[in-house]
Amino acid sequence: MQNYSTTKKKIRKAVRLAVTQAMIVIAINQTVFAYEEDTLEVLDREVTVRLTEVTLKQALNEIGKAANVKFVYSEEQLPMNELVTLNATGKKLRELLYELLEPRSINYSIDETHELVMLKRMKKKSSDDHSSLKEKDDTPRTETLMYSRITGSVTDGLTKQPLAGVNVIVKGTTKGTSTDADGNYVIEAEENDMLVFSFIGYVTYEMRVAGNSTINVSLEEDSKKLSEVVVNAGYWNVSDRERTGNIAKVTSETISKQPVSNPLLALQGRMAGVVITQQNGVPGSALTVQIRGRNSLRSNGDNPLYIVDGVPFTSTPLSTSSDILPNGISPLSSINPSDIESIEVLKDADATAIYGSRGANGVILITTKKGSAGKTKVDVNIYTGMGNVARYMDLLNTQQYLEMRKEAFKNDKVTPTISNAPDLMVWDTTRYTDWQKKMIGGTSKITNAQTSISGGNSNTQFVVGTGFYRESTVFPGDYADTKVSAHFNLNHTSENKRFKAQFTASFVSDNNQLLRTDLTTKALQLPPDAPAIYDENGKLNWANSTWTNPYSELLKKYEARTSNLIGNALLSYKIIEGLQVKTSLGYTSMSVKEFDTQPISSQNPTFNPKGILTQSNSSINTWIVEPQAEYNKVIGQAKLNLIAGGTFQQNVNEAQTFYGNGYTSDALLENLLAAPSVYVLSSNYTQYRYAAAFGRFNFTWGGKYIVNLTGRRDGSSRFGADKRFANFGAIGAAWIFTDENFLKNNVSFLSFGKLRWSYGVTGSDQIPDYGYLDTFAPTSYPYGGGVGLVPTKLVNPDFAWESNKKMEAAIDLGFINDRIMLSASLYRNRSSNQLVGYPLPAITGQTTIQYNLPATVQNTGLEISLQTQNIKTRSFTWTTNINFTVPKNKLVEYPNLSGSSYANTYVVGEPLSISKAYQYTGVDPQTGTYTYKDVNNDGAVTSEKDLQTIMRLGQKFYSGIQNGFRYNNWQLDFLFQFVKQEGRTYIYSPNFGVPGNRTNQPVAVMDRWQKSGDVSTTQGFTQLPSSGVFATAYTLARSGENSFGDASYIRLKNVSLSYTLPEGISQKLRLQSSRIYLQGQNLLTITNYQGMDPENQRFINLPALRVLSAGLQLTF
Amino acid sequence: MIHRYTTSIMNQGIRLSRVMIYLIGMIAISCEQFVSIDPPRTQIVSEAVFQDDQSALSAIKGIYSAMISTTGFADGGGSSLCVLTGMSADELISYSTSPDYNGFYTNTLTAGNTVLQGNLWALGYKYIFYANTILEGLQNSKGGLSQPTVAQLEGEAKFVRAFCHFYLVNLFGDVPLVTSPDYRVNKDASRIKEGSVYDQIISDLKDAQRLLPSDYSVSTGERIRPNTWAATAMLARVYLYQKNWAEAESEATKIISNTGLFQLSTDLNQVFLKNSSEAIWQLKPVDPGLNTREGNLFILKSIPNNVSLTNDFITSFESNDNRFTNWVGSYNSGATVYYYPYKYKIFTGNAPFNEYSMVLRLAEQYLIRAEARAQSGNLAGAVADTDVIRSRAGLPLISTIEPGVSKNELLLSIEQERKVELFTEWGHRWLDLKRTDRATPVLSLIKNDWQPDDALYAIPQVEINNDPNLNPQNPGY
Repeated sequence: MQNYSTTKKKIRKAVRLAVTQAMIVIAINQTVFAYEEDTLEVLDREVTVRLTEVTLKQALNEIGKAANVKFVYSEEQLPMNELVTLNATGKKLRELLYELLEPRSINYSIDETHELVMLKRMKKKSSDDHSSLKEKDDTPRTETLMYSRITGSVTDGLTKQPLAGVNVIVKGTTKGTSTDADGNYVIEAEENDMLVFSFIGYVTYEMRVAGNSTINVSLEEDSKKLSEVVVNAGYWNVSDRERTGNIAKVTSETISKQPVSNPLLALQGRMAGVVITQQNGVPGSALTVQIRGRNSLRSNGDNPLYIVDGVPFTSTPLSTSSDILPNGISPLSSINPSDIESIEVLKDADATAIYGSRGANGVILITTKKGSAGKTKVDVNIYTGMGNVARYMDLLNTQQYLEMRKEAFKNDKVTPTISNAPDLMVWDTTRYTDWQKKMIGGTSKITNAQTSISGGNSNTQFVVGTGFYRESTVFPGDYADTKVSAHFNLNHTSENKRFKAQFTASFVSDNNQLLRTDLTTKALQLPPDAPAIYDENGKLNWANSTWTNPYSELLKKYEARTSNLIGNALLSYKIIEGLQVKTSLGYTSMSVKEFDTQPISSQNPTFNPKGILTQSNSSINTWIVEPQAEYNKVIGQAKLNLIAGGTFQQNVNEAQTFYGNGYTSDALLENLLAAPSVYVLSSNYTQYRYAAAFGRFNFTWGGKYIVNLTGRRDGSSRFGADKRFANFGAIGAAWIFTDENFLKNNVSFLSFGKLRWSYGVTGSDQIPDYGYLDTFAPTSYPYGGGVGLVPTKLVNPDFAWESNKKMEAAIDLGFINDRIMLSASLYRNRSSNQLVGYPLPAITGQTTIQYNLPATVQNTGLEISLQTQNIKTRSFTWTTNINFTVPKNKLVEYPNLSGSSYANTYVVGEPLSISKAYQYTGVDPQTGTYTYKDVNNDGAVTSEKDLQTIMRLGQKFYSGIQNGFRYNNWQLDFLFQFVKQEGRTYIYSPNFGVPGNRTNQPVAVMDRWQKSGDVSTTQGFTQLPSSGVFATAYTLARSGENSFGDASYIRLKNVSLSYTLPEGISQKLRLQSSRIYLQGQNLLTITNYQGMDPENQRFINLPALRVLSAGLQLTF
Repeated sequence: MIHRYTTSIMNQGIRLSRVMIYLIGMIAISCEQFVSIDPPRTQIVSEAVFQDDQSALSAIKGIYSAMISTTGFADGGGSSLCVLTGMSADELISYSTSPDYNGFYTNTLTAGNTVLQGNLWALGYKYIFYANTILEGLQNSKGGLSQPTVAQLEGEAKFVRAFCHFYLVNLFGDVPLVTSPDYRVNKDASRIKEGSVYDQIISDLKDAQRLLPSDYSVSTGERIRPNTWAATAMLARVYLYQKNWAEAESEATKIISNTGLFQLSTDLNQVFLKNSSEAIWQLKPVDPGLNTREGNLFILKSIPNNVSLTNDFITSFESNDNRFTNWVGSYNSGATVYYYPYKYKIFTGNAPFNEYSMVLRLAEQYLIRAEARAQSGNLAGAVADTDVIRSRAGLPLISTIEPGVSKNELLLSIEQERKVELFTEWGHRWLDLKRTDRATPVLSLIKNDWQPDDALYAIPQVEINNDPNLNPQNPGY
C-alpha cells in the first residue's frame, strides 16, 4: 500500500460505508448505534489487554472487545494463526494496532459509523511511511460525493433461492457490503460505478449502476473450483487441490439421480478403477466390488473395507439359507441411499495405508448427511417406478423342442417311453408356454418416499430424516422388499469454538419377502410343452409326478428381516490453537432373521409330505473407539499437519440356524414351537478384535510442494500370537507445478497442473476368525444321546499378513480456468505373501489349510478421468464426465507352480482370471460331435494334457461417459457404460444340459449336426445325459474354446430428466423449490452376448432389472 | 522476537512430540492385550477336548454323527457307497441326469468325477482324519481321562480307521495309509501296496477287538457304536478278503456262537429294525424327518428319478424266496413295474426312529464262515452255514436238494446267496465280484461299456494334482 496520508481519502470513503471483499462481517446490526454517545474517536479509545501466545485472530477478538470495535478482515489474506503476545495497559488503540499490525504488513482503515476496523494486507512495504499512522487522523469524516443508494437482492440463478453473504463491491474500490439472510443488500455507488457480485461457488457477475436504484441479480453456480472441493480421506479431509492420494468421489447429487436401493449400485460405471457387478436382480442381493482388480488368490479375499461415518461396516454378505440370494444379502442394502452425502473410494497407497491391514483392496468411505445452518428446511422426495427384465433369451418353441427331442432319441437309437420321455409320451405336445414371460416376465413396482428436516444456527445444526422404500419382484405373486429408515444428525460447537460434538445415527428396518428359489432357472429350463400349472380343480397340477410344478415354488416363502443401526459420535476439543484432540466412537448392530418355508401345499401330495421350516438368526455387532490428536501449524510458507491416534475395534458375529420339520399343517409353519421336531443345524459365535496405532505427517511448502506420510501398526486377533502385529505405511508427494513462477503467467490455457506420486504397503486380514486355533466343533446333530464333536480344520498357527505394495504416479491438469479437468493415473499393486486356503489332497482329512503362499499377484493399470464444461451460458450448460480404465492383472511369481495344486488353474505371466481350454476344431461332419485338438498327440483329448489354450476372461477395458445438460429449468443427465470383456456362453452353464435332453435350449442349437456330412455349429442331439459320444464330447465342450465368447456391452446405465418449477409457481405453492423428475436405470444394453445379462453372465440368476421411475421433490 | 517465536514453537513441538510418542506407546502396549481374544464359545480347543471323559467321548460320537448325516460314503443316500457301488455292479439302475452319477452306472467313470472324489475318496479319508485326531489327542492328553475312556476311544478310533481304509483299498486299490493327523506328513503321501494297507487294518482291528467292551453298555444297549464284536466281524471279513480262510472262520465263529447277543430274526421284516437281534453295528439316523436315507431314496412313489433295481437282479431270485417278497418293493406305472430295495420300510418319519442303518450283521458272518469253510474243504460245514440263511429265506436247503454239491458249485451258491441276502448293503455285491475276479465274467454280459479295468475306481484327478505322489493313476483312466 502507498503512503498512509495519500490514502486518507480512500480510507475516508471506506469509513463512511462498508466492507472489503471476502470479509467476515460480524454482527453489524447490533453495534451500529451502540456508541452513538461515545465522543471518543475509535482510534483514541484506550485499551487494556494481556495476551500471551495467542493467535492473531484471538488477539484481535480480545482487542475488539476491549475497544468496542469490530475487526473485518479476510482470513485467507492475513496470517491469523500467528502467535502473538501483547501487554497493554490503557494504551490507545492507534498505538496498539500499530505495534501489532505493522510488523505483519497489515494495513487498516476505520469505519467510524459502524466502529469497524478493516484490515488489509500491505502490498508493498517501505520503511519511511509509518509515521503518519501514529498521528491522529483529523480529516473530516463526512464528504459530499455524488453517491446514490442502490438496493437489490441476489438469488441463485437455478433455484431462485435468495443468496445470503454475497459480496457486493464497487469495482476498483474497497467499498462493499454483503447480502443479508434474505439476499438483500444496500450499497452506495456513483452512477458510473460497476458493481461486482461474488460468492464462493458462483460465477462472479458485474453490473453497471447506470442510474438504477434497484439492481437485482441472479448468480450462476460455478463448477466447483478444484481448491474448494473437499474430499474425505477418512481420518482427515483434504482439498482436492492438495491431495496426494487417489480418491474418487460421488456425491448425493449423483446418487439421487438413480432409482437404486443399494448405494453401491449408484457407483456403477462412474469411477475409474472400480468394478461393481450386480450378480442378481432380486432385491437385497449381494454385489461384488473390486477396486483395482483382483489381489488375492482367494476368491473371497477381494472385498474392500467399508467405513460408514468412521465406523467399519461389514463387507461380507450376510448369511442366508436360501437359493434366491445365492451370494447372500448385501449388508450395504441396509443403508438408505438417500441418507448418504458422499461416497469416497480410496485407491492408492497414500490414501489407504492409514487403514493398514485392512486397506489392501481399497477403502469405501460412506458419509451420511449432516445438518447445516440456516432456515429450517423440510425436504420431501417421492418417486414411484417399475422394473422388468430387459432381455430374454431366444429359446426353442414347442415345435423346435419336439424336433430336438425326437431327433435325440433317433440319434441314440432309443425308443421314447413314459419313463424316459414324459415330455413326448405323457404331456400334451400341442401346448406352448413362454416360461420366461410366465416366471420372470412380471413388473416390479417401486415406491420410494423420503422426508427430512434440517436447520440450525451457527452453533448447532441438525438433520432428521425418514424414508420408506418398497420394491416388488418380477416373479408371479406378491413378493416385495420393504425398508423403513430413519436418519439423525446433530452437530454442536461451543460458543468459544473449542469443543465440537457430532452425533449421527441411522436405522434401517428391512423386511424382504421373497420366495425360496430364483425362478430364472426354471424359466430357462422348462420344456415349452410342459403341462398346465393348475388342473381342472384349480389345484397345482403334478401331471402324475412327471414334473415338479414350478408354481409350487411360489408357495415356498423366504423372508429376511434385517435391522441395522449405525451410531457414531465424534467429540473434539481444541486445547490450544492448532492442537485438537478428538475421539470417534462408533457402534453398529445388524441383525438378520430368516424364515425359509416349504409348506405341505407346495409339495407333491404323492409323497405324503410334511412341512419344513428353516430359521436363521444372525447378528453382527461392532464397536470402535478411535482417540486421536491433531496438530496444525503454519510457519511462513510451511504448513504442517500431524495426526496421531489409535483404534480399538471389536466385532462379534453370532448365527444360529434351526430346522423344524414334520409340520402336519401349514398353519403354524413359521413357528418353530409348532414343529414336531426341531434341530439346531448350526450355531456360531466369533469374536474379532483389532487394535492399531496410526499417524500422519503432512507437510506443504508454499502451497505447491506437498509430502504426506502415513503409518500404522496393526494387530488383529485373526493371527496366531507370534504373527499378530505388523507395520504398514505410505509416502505420497505432490507438486503443483502451475504455481511455479515460470509457468504461472506464461501458460495461460493451463489453469492447474499437479504431479502426484505415492508408494506404500497395506495388508489384508480377510480370513476367518480363530484360523490359528486347533479346535473341535459340535456336529450338526447329536449322536446316541450326546453331542458329537469333530475337528474343525487343519491348523497352521504361523500364517501371517498378506501384504500389498502399491505404487501410483499421476498427473492432474486443469485447462481454461479449470473448465477442463483431466486426471491420469498409472498404478501398480503387488500382492505377495498370499494368504490362501492352500488346497491339500483330501487324504489329509481336509481340503485346504490357511497358508502364506510365496506368490505375487500384480495389478497394473491406467485410469483416466476427464471432466469438461462444454457449454456454459446462463441458460444452457453442458458438462461431460468420462472415466476410462485399462486394467491388467498378472500372476508375476509363483515358485514351483507346476508342482503345486494350482498347476492347472494359473499360469505365471497370465491374469488370475484365465481359464484353460481345449482348442476347438469344430463339429466333426462324420460323427457329429464337437472335436478338440489332441495337443500332446496321445490319441485322446484328456484334461490337463490337452487343456492348453488360455482363455483370458475378465475386463479388457471399461469406461463410463456421463453427460449433463441444463436448459433453464430442465436438467438431463445420462450415463453410458462401456465394457470390453470375454465371458462364458451357455455351453459352459450347467443350467442347460446336453442339447437333446429334457430341458429347453437356446435357439442357436438348431444349427446342429443331423447326418453324416453335415457342417454345423452345434453337435448332434442326444438324450443320454452322460454316456455316448455326444455326452462325452459335451463334457469336453464345457471346457472347450467354444464355451467362451465375447461378453462386451454398452449399456445406457442411467438417465435422469428433471424440471424445476419456476419460482413464481413454487412461491404460490409456498415452497422454496419444487422439482419433478423421470429416472431410468439399465435402460438399454447393446451386446452380442447370448445370455440375459453380460454383466453377471449367469444363467441361473435374475439379471439386473431395467427400472423407470417418476418422482417429485419439494422443499418447504 | 523472531528467535523467541521459533523457540516457543520448538518447545511446543518437542512437548507435543513427547505427548504423541507417549500416546502411541500407550496404545501399542494396550493393543497387545486387546487383540488376545478368548477361545471361541461355540468350539472347543483341542487340548480341552481330551481333558475330560465326556468331551473326549463326544469326539467319537462326532464321527458317527458325521457318517450318518454327511452326504456320501456312509449315509445310505444317493451318493453313498452302497448306492454308487450298487450302480457300478448289477444291482441298481441310475435315472440321474448327472454324468457324475451315471458314470458309476455305465462304468464310465473319469478321474474328474466329483462324486467319486467328494463323496467316496475325500469322505473316507475325512473320517480317518477324525479318528487319527482322537488317537493323537489321547496321546497328548495332559491327564483327566479315565482308563476305560482311553481304551474305549482308542478302540473305536482304530476301528473307524480300519473300516474306512478297508473300503478305500477295495474301491481304489493301492491307497495311501494314513495313521497321523499331521497334514505335513500326509500331504505328500504315496499309494502303498494293498497288502500293507491290510496289515494296518488287521492290526487296528485287533487292537479294537482287545480294547472294546463285549456288550453295548456304552451306548445304553443300543447297537449303534462298534464294540469288540464289530471289530471281530470286520476281522472275519478282512481275513476272508485276504483269503485267510482259517482266521476268517475262527473270527466268524466267535460271533455266531455268541447266541446270547446275536441271533437271526426269523421275521425278515424285523432284520433292519433298530437294535435287531442280528445287528452287530448300526448307524442311528440323526437327520430330522427321515428314518434311514436308504428308505427315503429307494422307496418309489413315482417313476424313479434316482435308482431302481435292475431286471437282472430281480430275476436272480429263486422262486419263493421270502426275501423277494419282503425285501423288494414295486411301483407300477401303467404297464411298467419298477422294483426297489425294501429292506427299510419307512420313506419319511420323525424321531423316535424305528429303523437304523445296518452296517454289520450276523447273516454276513454265516456267509463268511460258509465261504471260508468251503474254500478250506469243509463242504458240510459250509453247506450248513449257507442253509441257515436259505432256511430263513424259506428256500429249500442245499443239504436236501444238492447233497453232493461240489466246492465250486457251492462257492457259486454262496456268491448267489450273498447277492440276494446282502444287496444294496455297504457295497457287498461290488466288492464280492471284484475280490473273486468275477466282475468281468458277470458284468461284461450286462453292461455295454464294461472294461476289466473298471473294477477299480479312478484316483480322483484333483487329488493327484494336489499330491503328485499319488501317481500313477489306476489303469484305464
